Amino acid sequence: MSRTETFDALTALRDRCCHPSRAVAIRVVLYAVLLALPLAVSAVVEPASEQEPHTFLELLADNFGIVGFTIVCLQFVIAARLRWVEWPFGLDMLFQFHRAMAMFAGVLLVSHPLLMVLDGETDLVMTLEATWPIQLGRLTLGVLLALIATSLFWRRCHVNFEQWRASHNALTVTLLLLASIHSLFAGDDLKTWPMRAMWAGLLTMALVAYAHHKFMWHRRTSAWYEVSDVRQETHDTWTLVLKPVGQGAAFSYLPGQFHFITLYGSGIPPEEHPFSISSSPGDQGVLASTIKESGDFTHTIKHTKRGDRALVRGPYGRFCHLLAPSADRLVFVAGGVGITPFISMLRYMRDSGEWCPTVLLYASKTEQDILFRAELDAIAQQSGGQVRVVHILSRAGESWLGEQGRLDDERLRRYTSPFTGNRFYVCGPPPMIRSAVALLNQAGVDSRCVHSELFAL
Amino acid sequence: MRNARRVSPTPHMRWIIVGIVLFALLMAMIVAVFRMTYGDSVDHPATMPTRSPTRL
Repeated sequence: MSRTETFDALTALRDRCCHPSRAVAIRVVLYAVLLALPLAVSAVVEPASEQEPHTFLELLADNFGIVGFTIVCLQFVIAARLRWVEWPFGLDMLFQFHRAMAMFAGVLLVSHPLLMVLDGETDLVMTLEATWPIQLGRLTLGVLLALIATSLFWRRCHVNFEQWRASHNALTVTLLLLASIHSLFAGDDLKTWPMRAMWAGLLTMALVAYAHHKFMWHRRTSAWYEVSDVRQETHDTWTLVLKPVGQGAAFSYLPGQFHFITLYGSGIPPEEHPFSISSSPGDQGVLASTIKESGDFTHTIKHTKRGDRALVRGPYGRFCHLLAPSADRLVFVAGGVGITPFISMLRYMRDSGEWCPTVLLYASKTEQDILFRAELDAIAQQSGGQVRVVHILSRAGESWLGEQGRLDDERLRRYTSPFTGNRFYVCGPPPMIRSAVALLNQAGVDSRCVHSELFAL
Repeated sequence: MRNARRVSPTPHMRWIIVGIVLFALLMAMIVAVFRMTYGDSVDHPATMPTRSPTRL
């Protein structure tokens, strides 16, 4: 693929992705309809009680169970990283939604038996004896509580991400199956065929989404690559350059997006992790990610060798200056290895000649920690004054003549005021992102002009 | 400049979450009231002949 064809593909990708409002509205409405559909069906077809009239609390408990189960099923679709679902939001936003809905479903499903107890069915908690569907319900509740506890506290328990993800997957599928059986046999809510068909549909949807994500590698979103180069950028940061296996072309992506990489090489655990793409979309047939040693997995990056295979899934995310409304000036705030999406955007400006007035405020610990220093200087020079790079060091040596300390209000105003017309992009360690965004809010910057990508599960 | 164009801003996920949560709670309560009001008086043809008499 020639460079012109590459940029044409990029333009098409950008045009597809840059109008999310209608797409967002369609997906939110569709989600709400799917959420409400089982309730609506139950309202129409639920059997009349012949033994005793239903009370409000009992019906509310039923409905909370129905909505909670529906959300659990929809969670599988949200987490399957389906391109159609993901692109209007960005995967980080979608995972925020996934977390929030998980908490909401947890509250609803815990409330389900509590409301029944409040309604007078005290035997649910006063005695251990019960029919097997109720015992199964208790087991389901235990699995749900375990799922909530492990999701909230896995970091504090010194469990690594892969262990947590494996347990999360196992517990979620178990919860889904137990809840299905429990709801099918406990009570009289699923005695009609429309409700049973609804339940079967939800369960099938969840399991198909899970199987699609886990076992079917979608041709449009994942492909095999091999490591063509491993470059050491600083004492603890490495760049992996990947090229497609065989004659395949690298997928089109926007500068600033990220992908998931699973490396298959000696001494490297085959775990899937998200990394920003640091190369320019104009780079012919290659992808690059710059990775800092900061955890169990990333400490093994230096063992990667040329020729190692990599399964790459992507691209994901909307952290890209091309997708936002036009601005008088772009302000990039980077911390440490958070420079990677910005170097991709700046490389794109250089390769395409589409320069935007840009200020890069780049915070690092020491001079030795600055990534791409020579290239950033070269880009600033080539831009003819459009791009300005400001380094800020928190532990500067005596010979350092630039900015020292941290990004504060005074520095922000000095380099980026007036704020009107600016569009801010922030990427770095989570505490740095939070403090930078808080600083911008305090400075009166419109939150709609501040973009950050916080990718932490 | 090719990227100097007006496009829609990033969706505000917080409001979407609040909206969905409120909608779900409202629907659950409305359907509970509806079933309490109308469900017990309707002998619906979709009802199957057997059902468990109590939950326990």
